[in-house]
Amino acid sequence: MKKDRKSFKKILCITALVPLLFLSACSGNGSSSSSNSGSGNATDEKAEVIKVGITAPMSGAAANWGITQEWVAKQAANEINEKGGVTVDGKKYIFEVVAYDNKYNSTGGAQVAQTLINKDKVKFIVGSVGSAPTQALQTLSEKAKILHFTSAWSPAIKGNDFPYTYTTLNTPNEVIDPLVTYILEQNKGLKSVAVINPNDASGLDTAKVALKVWKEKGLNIVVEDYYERGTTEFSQIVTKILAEKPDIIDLGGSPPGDAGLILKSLEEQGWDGVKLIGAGTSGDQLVEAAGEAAEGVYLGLAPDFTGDTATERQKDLAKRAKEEINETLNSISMQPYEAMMALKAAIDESGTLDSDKLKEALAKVEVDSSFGVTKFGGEDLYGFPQQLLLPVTVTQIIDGASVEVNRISTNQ
Amino acid sequence: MDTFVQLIVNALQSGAIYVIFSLGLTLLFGVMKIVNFAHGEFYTAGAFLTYLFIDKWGLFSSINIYVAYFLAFVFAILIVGIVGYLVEMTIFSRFHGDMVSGLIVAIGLSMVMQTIYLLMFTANPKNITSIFKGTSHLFGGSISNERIAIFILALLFTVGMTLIIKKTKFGKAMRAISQDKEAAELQGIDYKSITRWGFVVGIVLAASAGVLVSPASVVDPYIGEAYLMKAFIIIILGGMGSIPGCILAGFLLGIIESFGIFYFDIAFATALSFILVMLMLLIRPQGLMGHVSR
Amino acid sequence: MSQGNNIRWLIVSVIVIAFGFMLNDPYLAHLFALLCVYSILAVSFRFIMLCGEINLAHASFFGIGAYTSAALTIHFNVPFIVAFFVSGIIAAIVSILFGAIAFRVKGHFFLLLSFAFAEVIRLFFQNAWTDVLGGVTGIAGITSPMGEFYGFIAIVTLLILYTMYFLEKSKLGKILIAIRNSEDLSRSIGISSMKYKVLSLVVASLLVGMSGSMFAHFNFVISPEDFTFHLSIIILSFVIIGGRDHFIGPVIGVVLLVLVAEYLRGFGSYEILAYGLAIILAMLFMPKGIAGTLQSLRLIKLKSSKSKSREEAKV
Repeated sequence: MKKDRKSFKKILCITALVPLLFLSACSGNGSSSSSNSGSGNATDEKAEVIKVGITAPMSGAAANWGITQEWVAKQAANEINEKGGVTVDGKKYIFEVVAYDNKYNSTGGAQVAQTLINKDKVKFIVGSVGSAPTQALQTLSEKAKILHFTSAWSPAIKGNDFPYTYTTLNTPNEVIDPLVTYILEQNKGLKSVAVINPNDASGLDTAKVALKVWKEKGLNIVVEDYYERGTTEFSQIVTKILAEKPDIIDLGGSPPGDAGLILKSLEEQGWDGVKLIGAGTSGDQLVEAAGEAAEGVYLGLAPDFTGDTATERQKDLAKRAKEEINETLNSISMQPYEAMMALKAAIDESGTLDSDKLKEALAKVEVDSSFGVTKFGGEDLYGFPQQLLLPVTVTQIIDGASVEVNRISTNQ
Repeated sequence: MDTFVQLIVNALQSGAIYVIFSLGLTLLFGVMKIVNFAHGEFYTAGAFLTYLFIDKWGLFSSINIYVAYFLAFVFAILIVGIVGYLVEMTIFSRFHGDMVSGLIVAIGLSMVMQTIYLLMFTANPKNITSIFKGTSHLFGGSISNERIAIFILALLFTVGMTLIIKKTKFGKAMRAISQDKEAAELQGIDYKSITRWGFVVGIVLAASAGVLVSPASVVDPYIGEAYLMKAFIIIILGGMGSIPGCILAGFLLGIIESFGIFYFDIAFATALSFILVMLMLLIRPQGLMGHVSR
Repeated sequence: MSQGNNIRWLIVSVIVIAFGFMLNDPYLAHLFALLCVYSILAVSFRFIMLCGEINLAHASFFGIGAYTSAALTIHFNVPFIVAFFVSGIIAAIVSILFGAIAFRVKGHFFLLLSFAFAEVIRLFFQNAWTDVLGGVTGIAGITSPMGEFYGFIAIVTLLILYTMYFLEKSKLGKILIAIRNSEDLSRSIGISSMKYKVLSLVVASLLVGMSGSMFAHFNFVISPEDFTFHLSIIILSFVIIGGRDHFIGPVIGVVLLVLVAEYLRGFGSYEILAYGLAIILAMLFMPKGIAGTLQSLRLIKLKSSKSKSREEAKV
């Protein structure tokens, strides 16, 4: 009996110790992340810290987005902090970036949301990737009136039902129409189109917009199909598409790996029509995945960050990203940069950290985005000006390089 | 392009790819009873090593490209073989016969390997230069020369594997162990050693598949898992441990997908393959060509 | 079981319930609820393992419960408490259909069959009734049904765990273990292995379906990716690492591994690497699981399902 009592006490101690240890480790963990965050060298020791959060995949096939978003946000924070941060009521603040892997699903997304908002107490969310995790985030952030800047495309998570959500990159709604218009001008006499997308949120969102635009332009949609994420063999799908003899093939929201495989298969089966990835986010990644099969493909959401049309800031960021983390930057990577710039502009303008007053500022303030000075707009489509107005870029793969062939500014 | 011929061509060449990959798994799962959930990661190892040798480091760029690929293949399977030997020795050998523990440890290994690839190569898919460039036209259907090569190599591999299993002492020892461990040991077969080498052969097959298939496809840290799913379907349908079953089921799956996607849609074809698996397990668990075990 | 032991576990239970009602920090409350729900998943997973089978579709029944509850409360305005029980019942019904067919095979084959079934269910969540189930994006906007929801979760979890414990100790539990030890022998004395396997599956799935309902209402969003065979495998790892031979093993596995994952959260891409390493190391150094290792080090004395059956056999 005595042995039982001793052993039971041991269990009780262990069960009590474990959560205590964990809680202390967690607070320790919180401070350790601040040492490699965006608080630059030249900052005032006495400045207070504003934590900003990112929820994005950092493992799995979409890991590039989370990894680059975290890095870009930290660069933006460094940039702002080195210039003196922001001042509110005479007090100086610097930014610190906290990013977690949301594993691209709701469970991970909900846990990250809880950690960011309730444990780390971030004041703003400057980057979110993935529809399901973003929705998980919004359940907490909207109620807590936390300004949330997202890269998600679906109009279903924006607008007057989500007053604290803003988008700081272009979405299919903004880019597909100009892209299609340009393509039809450059290639006359096209009549039919096949629209292929992955069966996930980005694919479905892109498909909705693309189908509408193609129909408006009078094209005949001969194939509309969706493939499972993780497909490795596309020859069967390609055969099905080619049997309908389309003039144009629109790969919609397909990620570079899948698009590359489809393009290779198209080449094999001898088709050389007009190819586009309506919401393609990176020409460089497409070439990396597809090699020669990528030649001639148009992309709608892949601004050039390294060539002649890129701004100095973009070129600098892209170069350093390659050097420091060996990653290519794409439009999704840049989204937190624009978010941080927008945040800074709004705080400078309104002199406060209060979300509702910041909203008022965001509606009219000028944002020093990586593309240049711009503002928020999009009330007609979204209900309030939540969409940062960025230039729409049409990119084409020419001689193995991603070349921007057209740029439309949308400063209204 | 004659659509029907194209569908057949697609079925055959994708079937060939599935067969190469599944050979290793049927050996490991069917014969050695090791549930190697990290099998896909060894495929990826073969693919990434090829990428490193041929594209990134351009190690053999000064030689004829066929020789270059052959050398890349040899080095890749040597490296993977050594790693596999060590992995079996340190990790899997503890769990012989304990299917569940082996499964869990393989999951852990898979997570570790995938992240290592992620950190080394980033998640962005990479293209590997093809060895056999150009496309050919057969009876009205088009197929890239790369894939013709894969088809031929798949046949060679299966013939080679069948010979090893049936004719060599090693192959016979493996079969003996899978049928009755104690009886095999009584006959003087070194269970530990044969299992270890059997594991190495299995994963070397996976890596070979990676070297062969990746020029026709792309490589990224997570590509192994997709093939793993297909491979499980194939070895169940064909019969775990049966090489002829592997071939039959591999091409069968190719046909189901090719025609299923064409006449219906992709989700249908995927669901169909899983339902077939379930039916097979219920009606004839040993698969089309497997033997009733125990 | 001695009186002293009873009181000790009662004290632990009271502490757990207290946690449920007193946790004000939403982050900790969410974590606590996750621990509760995963504990139910892990213990019920092990319950099915008592008859010797690994069910990789376990997470799918969890998902069926979650989706049923979410759909009923959002689209059909059903009150939570009704949805809660209906979720369990629907999961149980599906499990009867699955079990009646699937348990015709066993071991490897049942494992693979459950894996295939899990994929079919995932495809179903993704592609069927998209206006109700939400398709790929799933369902969002699920609400917390009552003020002290976390207290409710704590109480329900404990009730379920106690139920499972007594079931395991009961005749049913002994029959399941007998089937695992030797199916042929059990059948030779008149035990219908099929009937009892299905029974264990149904009981487990009923409870897991109800826990799925709770999950939906404290997570607020669900999607098909949350209920795949990956989750079943993670749960299996909780059971094996915690200790498959003891009732409390799975709970230990859940608490430890979930907290480890939380600690690793700040490490970005390295999180998965460290987690995989943790699993490998745990399996290498504690092959009997944490509970089993503690037992053999004589640090604690717990009822083992293995040693029990050997004692029974001595009779």
